[in-house]
Amino acid sequence: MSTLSRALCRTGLNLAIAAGALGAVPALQAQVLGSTQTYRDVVFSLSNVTQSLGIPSSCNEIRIDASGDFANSTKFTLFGALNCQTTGTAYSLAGSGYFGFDGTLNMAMIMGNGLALRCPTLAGYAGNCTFHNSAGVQVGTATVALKP
Amino acid sequence: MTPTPASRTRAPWWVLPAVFAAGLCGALLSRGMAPAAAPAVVAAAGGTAATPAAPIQGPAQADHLSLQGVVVLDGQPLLALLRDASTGTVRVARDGDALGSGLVVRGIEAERVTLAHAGGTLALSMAPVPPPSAVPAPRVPPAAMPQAAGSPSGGAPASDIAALPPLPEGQNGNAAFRAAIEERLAALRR
Repeated sequence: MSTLSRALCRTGLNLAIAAGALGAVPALQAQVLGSTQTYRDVVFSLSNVTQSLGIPSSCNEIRIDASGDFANSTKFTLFGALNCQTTGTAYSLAGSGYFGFDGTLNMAMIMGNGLALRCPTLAGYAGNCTFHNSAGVQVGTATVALKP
Repeated sequence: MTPTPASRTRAPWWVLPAVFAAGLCGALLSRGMAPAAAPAVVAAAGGTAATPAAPIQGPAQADHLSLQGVVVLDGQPLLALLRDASTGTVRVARDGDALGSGLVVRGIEAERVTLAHAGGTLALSMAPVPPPSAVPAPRVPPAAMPQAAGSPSGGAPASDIAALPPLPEGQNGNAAFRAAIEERLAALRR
């Protein structure tokens, strides 16, 4: 058998072993059934909102409930409001979030006025967010921080 | 005057286009007369793709039949589009067509078709077209919505709900939320 033939056979054998291992993985996985917990009134401060968006400066508090299987998962849903306490108004918010292995918090929400609020890679539960219109175009920025 | 060989062979300029047009008309007419033209007429008139339907099984099947449309040519109802709900198919039928197991088309009108079977006749009428459903008006005028980068606002977008009641200072779910995240992260890192 030539060197090339032996190399091809060895490669084929490795591929077969790898394919077998991949096929065996689902059989080894255990099904995890979790329960959903809801953490209510998770409150972030919102500041430095781009003025041209027309969002009053009094809308400075993101108050949401976070719901998910926090014992088994890193993903959760968010629902609540961008609260404007002094004017007695608010924008509804709904979205999702997850935390990564690096400990950063990532959130994206749709606001009641049609804008999307994206807050990616919040280190230490604080960082920068961007506003996007319905076409996905960024139209503004803001800063958030989880309140004490 | 004796025509020269050259003038005898030269035809008027319109002869060639006329021959071509006559041929085209003939081809179109023969196509229109052929039975194979029926599906094309149906597709154009009804807008429903008439799939080859399975034979309808019998008079009991009449319960599943509905009249989807009638193709009218030159003022004459010509073809009926019959939908069989049990098979989800549409059959194109002409007057006199046997639909299978004793059902025969006996009369096509503008919005009605009569079917004959061993026990008598039954008529199928076109279902009335439902009025379009009402769409609620948007709460925020589109002009007030940010449209594109560079001109994000056409006015202040209105907030959409009443403010949430304030929480007493220091009362929120942040500590528990943070603890849940950090506990999960610690478990993942172990």
